[in-house]
Amino acid sequence: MKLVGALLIILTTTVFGWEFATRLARRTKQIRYLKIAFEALETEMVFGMTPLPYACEKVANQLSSPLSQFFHEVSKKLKEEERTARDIWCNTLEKWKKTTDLEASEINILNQFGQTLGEQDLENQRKQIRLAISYFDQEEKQAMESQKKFESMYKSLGFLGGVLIVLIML
Amino acid sequence: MKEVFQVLPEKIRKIILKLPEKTINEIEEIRLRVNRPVEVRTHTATFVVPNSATPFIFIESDSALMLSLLSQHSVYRLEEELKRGYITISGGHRVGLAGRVVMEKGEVKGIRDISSFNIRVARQKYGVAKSYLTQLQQRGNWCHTLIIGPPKSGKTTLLRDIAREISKGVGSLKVEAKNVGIIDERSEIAGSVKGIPQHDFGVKVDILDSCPKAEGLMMMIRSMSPEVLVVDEIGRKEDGDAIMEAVHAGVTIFASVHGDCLEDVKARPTIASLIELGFFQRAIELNVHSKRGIVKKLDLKKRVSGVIRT
Repeated sequence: MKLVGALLIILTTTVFGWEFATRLARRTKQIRYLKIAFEALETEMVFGMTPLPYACEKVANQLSSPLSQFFHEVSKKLKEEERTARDIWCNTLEKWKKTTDLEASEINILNQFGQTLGEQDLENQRKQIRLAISYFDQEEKQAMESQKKFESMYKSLGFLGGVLIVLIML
Repeated sequence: MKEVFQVLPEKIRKIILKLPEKTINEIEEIRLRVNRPVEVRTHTATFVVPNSATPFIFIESDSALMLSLLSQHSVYRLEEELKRGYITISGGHRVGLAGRVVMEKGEVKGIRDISSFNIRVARQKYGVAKSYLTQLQQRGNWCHTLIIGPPKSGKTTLLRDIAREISKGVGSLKVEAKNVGIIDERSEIAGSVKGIPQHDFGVKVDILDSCPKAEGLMMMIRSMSPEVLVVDEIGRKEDGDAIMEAVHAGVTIFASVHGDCLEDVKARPTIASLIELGFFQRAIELNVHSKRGIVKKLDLKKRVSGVIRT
């Protein structure tokens, strides 16, 4: 009996450790997708001159979840609701951020970008997109570093933590 | 009017929709200025909505929303429009803009922080040209015509209706449908959105939207082989030269010009020389109050030799 219990404890803590580790990896991946999304947005807005609701829709179609959901939502609301793009972007962001592994710094960049969305002329709009992309670049680097640093640590910590608890309880 | 309501923020739309239907149908302008009451103008009266005691004040956030609605949340697409200072929306209505102007290399680059919107409602009037048509043709050919009138006398409306009649052809006068080229420098005749005319013109009409008149006349002749050219508000010297050129190319010209009467426009050198040299065969003088016009036949014998008449 004791053995089964001990195994269960170790298993649980190991799973926790793994979860934390993959969360790091997912964050890096999502930041990378954000960059791709903004590059696509730039193409649509600056070169394609596509109206914002349709630009967001196209970007959403190129991406996978959870990013696609955000752009879908923004596009849908832009078409249906009579509010400024800034309002819609920030509201949607507020709800959506819980479903991602992104951290406050990335959400802040997105929020900042939303403040002027669709309200500036071509050149300034382009600058805003470029600025956001360069911020994401930095975030991606940091995310990769912390992934390297902590990924294996979380994994072994999970397992070893379980062992520790078992030893104490024995 | 449907298109106009679509660009108005909901609060203002509701107020305006509460006006009696007759007034709504007569609206010519809706003026919106930041921190000022909203003003509505029909051709008989100007008033503040909903009433002058408790007017609705248009605030900055309304202005931002209005710009969002006007541009479909995409101000970056309005580069050209912001440079010219007005946006043409579907339906041919025009929204004039004023605010802080941004310069670049000594040229106007656009308007930022927009503080005033002036929505000018475009109305098509079918049939205004009908009573003139008989006198504007000669044995199945249209005559070169100059339309003279002060602002708001209906020059552009008449020009638009004439263009439509020509492109459809007038069966009762045995005039065939002709290819019409419109040079629409200020997007007023056709009210084009992305190059597509928002007014009904029949089939045989080609439009050069927001193109300078003098260049446009030549471009049309070279590229679209029009039989009739329609151009609004001529006046500069280049316009005159281009019109001479077009008449020599065998194209019929319909043009409009600002002025009270024929004598009045003769004071302007370009127009005077066009009339003196006999380039125009008919002149229509429009009266601002009655919106009725008088057709005058200009003396054809004055045509200088060397002008080939077909």
